[in-house]
Amino acid sequence: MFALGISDFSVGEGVYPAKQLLSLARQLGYRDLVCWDRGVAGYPKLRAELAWIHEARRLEGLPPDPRWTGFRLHLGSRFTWRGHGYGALPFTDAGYAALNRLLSAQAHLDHDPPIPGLGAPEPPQDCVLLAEDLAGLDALLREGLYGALLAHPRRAQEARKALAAGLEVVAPQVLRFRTAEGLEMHRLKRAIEAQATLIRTKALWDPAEAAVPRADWEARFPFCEPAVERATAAVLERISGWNIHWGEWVLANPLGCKGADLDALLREKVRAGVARRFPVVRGDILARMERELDLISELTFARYFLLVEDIVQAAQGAMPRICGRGSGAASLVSYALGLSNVDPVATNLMFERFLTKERKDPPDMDIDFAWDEREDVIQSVFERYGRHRVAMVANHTFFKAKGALRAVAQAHGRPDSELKQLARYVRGWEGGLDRAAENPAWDIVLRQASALRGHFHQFSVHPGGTVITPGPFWEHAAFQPAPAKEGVSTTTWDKDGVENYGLVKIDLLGNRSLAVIRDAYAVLGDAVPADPGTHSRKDPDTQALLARGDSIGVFYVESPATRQLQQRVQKGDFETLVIHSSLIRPAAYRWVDRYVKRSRGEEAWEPSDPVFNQLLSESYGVLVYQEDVIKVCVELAGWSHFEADQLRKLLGKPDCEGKLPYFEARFRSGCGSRAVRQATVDEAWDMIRTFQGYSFCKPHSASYAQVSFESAWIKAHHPAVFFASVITNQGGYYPAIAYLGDARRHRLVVRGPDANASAWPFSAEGEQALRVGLMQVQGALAKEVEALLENRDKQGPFADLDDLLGRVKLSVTTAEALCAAGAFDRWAPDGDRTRLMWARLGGVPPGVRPRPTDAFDRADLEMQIMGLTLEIHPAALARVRKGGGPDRAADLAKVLAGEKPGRRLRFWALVVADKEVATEKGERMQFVTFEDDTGLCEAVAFPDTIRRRQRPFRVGDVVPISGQTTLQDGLAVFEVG
Amino acid sequence: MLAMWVPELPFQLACGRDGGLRGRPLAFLSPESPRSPVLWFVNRLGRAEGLAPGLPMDQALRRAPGLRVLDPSPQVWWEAQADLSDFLQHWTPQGQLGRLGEALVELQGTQRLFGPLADTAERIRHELAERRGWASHGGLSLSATAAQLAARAEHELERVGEGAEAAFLAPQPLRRLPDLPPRLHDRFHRLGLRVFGDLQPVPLPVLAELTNPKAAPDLRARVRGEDRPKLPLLTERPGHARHGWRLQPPRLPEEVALAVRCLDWLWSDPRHPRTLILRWWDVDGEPHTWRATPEDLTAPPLVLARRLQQAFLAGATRRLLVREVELRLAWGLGRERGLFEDPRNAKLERLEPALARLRRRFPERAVLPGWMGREVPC
Repeated sequence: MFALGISDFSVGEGVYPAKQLLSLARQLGYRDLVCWDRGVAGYPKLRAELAWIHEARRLEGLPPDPRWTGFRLHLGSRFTWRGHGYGALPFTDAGYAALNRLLSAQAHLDHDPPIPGLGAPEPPQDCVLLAEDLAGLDALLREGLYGALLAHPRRAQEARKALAAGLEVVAPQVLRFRTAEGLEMHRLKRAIEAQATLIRTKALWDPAEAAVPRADWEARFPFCEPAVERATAAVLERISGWNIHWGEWVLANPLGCKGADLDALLREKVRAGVARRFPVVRGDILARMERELDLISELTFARYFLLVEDIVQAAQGAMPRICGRGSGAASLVSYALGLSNVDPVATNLMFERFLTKERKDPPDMDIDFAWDEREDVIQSVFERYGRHRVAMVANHTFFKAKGALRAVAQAHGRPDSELKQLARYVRGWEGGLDRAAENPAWDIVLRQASALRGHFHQFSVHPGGTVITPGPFWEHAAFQPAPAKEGVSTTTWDKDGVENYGLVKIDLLGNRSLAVIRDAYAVLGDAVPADPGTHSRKDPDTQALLARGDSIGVFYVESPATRQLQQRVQKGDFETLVIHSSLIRPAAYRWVDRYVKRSRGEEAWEPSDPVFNQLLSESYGVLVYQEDVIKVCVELAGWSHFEADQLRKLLGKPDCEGKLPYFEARFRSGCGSRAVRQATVDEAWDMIRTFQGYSFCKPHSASYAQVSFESAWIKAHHPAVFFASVITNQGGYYPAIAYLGDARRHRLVVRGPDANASAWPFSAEGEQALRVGLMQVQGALAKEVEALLENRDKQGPFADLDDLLGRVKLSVTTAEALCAAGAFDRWAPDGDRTRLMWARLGGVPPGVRPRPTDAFDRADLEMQIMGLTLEIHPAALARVRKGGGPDRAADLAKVLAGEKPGRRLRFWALVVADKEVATEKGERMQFVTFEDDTGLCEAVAFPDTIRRRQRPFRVGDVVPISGQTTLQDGLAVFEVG
Repeated sequence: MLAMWVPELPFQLACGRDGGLRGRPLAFLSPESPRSPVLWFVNRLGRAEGLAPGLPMDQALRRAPGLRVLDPSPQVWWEAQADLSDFLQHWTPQGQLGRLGEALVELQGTQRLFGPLADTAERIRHELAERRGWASHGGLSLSATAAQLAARAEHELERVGEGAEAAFLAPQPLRRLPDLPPRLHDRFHRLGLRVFGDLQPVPLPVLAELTNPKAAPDLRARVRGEDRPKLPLLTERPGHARHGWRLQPPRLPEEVALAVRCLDWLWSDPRHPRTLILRWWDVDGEPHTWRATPEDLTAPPLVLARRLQQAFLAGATRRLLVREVELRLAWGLGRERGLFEDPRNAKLERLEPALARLRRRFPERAVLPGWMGREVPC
């Protein structure tokens, strides 16, 4: 017989995460479990956990666990209709679609815009319908729908009455909770969901509803009633006959290709693309193209490429500015179709990372669009393919340490101040827990929070994952309105669920640097080379710029850590940048020193086994890319690409630690069977084990490096246009003032905002000057500034301030802000902005003698209004006003010129970047980038310094700092303290 | 108008208790962050040694080893402030307390009692020093702003003669103007107006454009020393009462015995409330308000107290502990009348004297209109 299991995906009710629910069902003696949540969001998780139980045994090389053999999971869902509670268990595909349709329709009630064809929420056909009470069953029967009563042991009379009336009654056990703690957890979840305190929250469930062993349940009424037992068995038999289509790839056709031979169409397009992309089509290119096309054809995956191409072309026309990244960029087909910009043959990208014959989960492509175009692209996909066929992918967020603590403490009515204190104590959960437990009032809070950790919390939206289905979406999955995102629907499943079902997703993402390049190219016009990608990669100036780490503003390589890595290696070629883009990610970063030494030839790399030389020679024996893990597993342990990819996926996930030992066992046994030396196996596994966390695959790095090169080319040859575009698009690693500082170091003149010369964005004035845009003037009302610009465009420049104020009606606030920022300075050659400000008020009244503005006042005003200064650097301003600081940031560079390190320096500086990290002891330390009027200075503040200073450095602070110069691996680093 | 300023009143109180603290840098600890103690108030000697509020205590002690760090005692300070009010009531009925240690009193009209105003002001200072032991400064002027800034000059008594207010104020920096919003201060600064004298000649329409038409005349009068506010009575019995209850430690709403406490408060005054507002704050400082309906106000105290409790529980839906409760009552007597007569209030007020007499006679019994002397089921 079967049980109905309520998991934590029944928000505000369920107390069991998937794993616990499965083991509870098994422990109680059941072999059939129906997912009985509200909605089907939790089903993939349950399925994945069950699959992992079998997979773990397989990895260990053990026979299947007899306890779990034959255990079956069924799909079901509870829902409310006309005020009554029901459950539905589909037994055909149509039933499954109808159930999804009902759930989606209920979620989309009053949704704007409406979903075509979704209709009103009605009980699904082709499903076993179970009413939770007699009134519900009555309502169902009155509508001519057939259902059964789900008997409840505390409502025996009801079941008897139904039986007496000849109605069908079933009695599977509902697994809600088992112990008193479980019931308390249920009440806690209710409180969290209702945002109420525990003290005033009642449980939905009764203590008598605790789960009992199967034998006990079946011995008591109502199950013991033969009619009930028969009916329950019939339900199980009925739902067992149907299986959800799990793992079959679901792909929509591109628009306008109905009935066409998609393989032939793709082949034709790819051939044309290859001819366009490659001046000389060599044999190896053709061979790879054919190999890829054959595999794509075999897997019937052509429609996916055509679909993505259709989306990109519909959004941006025939010459799109996108960045295809992720594993999809490894495909020559993508490159030929214009979906990626890196030649996979020349860059030696591994197609198997994207698609293999054995691959079971569908691969996906990530396409970056300019950040300000992405929303329109997503909306256009919804509109082109129909809102009933498209959904974004949901994210499932689970309670982590801090969130769990916060939720539980709020349910106990604890104040915010205490929550902050608690959060400080339990940073990262480990270490501080004992200390937090000193307060007896927190004891229960901590206990419950600890139990809540890992439970499902809420839905959010995946950054760009979008799924398109061939028919209505509900034929495959339920979907719902996206939380906090207008006009968009999301699946109820997360990325893993969607992938495991077989829905192929396309990631449509935003990228600021594409907008930077787009804007810069628009200004440069004919100065842009015909093939900017190839041209920039081969350009010596661009390579030199990257080699010296002069990459502030350049996409992806502008952070201090990357710039320093570039400076240490002193190479600016494309291949090196591809390695560096990946090496700087958390998974690979721990080997950065080893890599630098080997790349500079300071440390000889002698592979312990020739196989490493064969696999990792490109990166000097260091694991850099995700493919490296795959290569090592395939080569040493004889795994298939698919199997190795499972391990690669696991390494980036939070539950890696728990599952890794199974893979280790499998890896070792694989290596053993191929007679690999033990030392080699140990070394290889050690590298794989430590390759945990966020990492890149090589195609992804190469795609990013391509964008980096294009933006670096603009910086190297047209710095004024480059900086104007970077600051206008905002969102870089540094504040605007730091980019302006770098612009000055590139010998650009930075001109202030000007009512007659400035546009809304920052703009280049010739090749040597940069004009601050009016967008930077905080406090000026955007509408009025737009009116000013419009008037200037129509009627020409303003003759003087009176002319401006006569032609454009500015409020006092806007006039004050523009004036304080210096936008009217051209009408005050002496720089006295005070007099200009009075102009909006009709001039200085008789008898009033306002103080004129001097250079320091101007710097203050600019900092207040724009967050940057034009004449005097904030550090210089502080130095003059507050005194002290005889040295300069540029003095640090003297150690590179041969000065002995250890010299003490004191100077005023502006903090332009900060990165906080934890030491091995868990103490805080910071890497800080300081700037003054003479240059940049990379610094490190050790825990002692931060303790003495009482607070960390923050971007925007102007601080007096003292410390000593050091020389670290050829880099000048300032040690604060 | 006399502005009195007792500088650093908390420190003077501390020195009054312990003479050994005189002439030393002193500071009070902030009550907000007990785990990493920081300074709250610092006296002048402390500031001269480079200490400032917000400085961590260990750093402050390193910087000024002679520093004495004291525990704050706000209750004592508020009592001292009330004491200052009581003291000033002996001299004049009109006045208004400002920040801690500050008061503004109207001395006009007291000449027949105490003699010339300047002499009276001197006597007030002297008596304050003799009786309370507090050193103070005074500012005497027809203008409230001029008097306040004159007291801040820290002369024993600074007199600003009639007609000399504008000249006295002219060199003062604008940031000293009491209650000037920071945004407005910034705007004046950008316009090159730094002192009162810069702002004095600005015409009213321009000032109205810079601030707002309603506030401009008052601002202009204040910067020119032409403000002559009518001060309220120091002795005036308020037409309203506030009963505050700080819950230490904060409790869940269900655990707050509000009805009992409210019954005490309602019973403490024989008058009939005209308006009743219950306010409470949860531990995050979020305020909540409940206002009694006219029907509630005519209910007997026991019933009203129960309704208060029910309203409180119904309204305290935020899942947090309650930190503070306050009952604001406006009484029927001693309160300004509205423009239109309200027959219900008129009726109630006619009854009030009789009710007051009855309550005085039977203090332990509930006497209200409609009250039958039997217990009302709650």
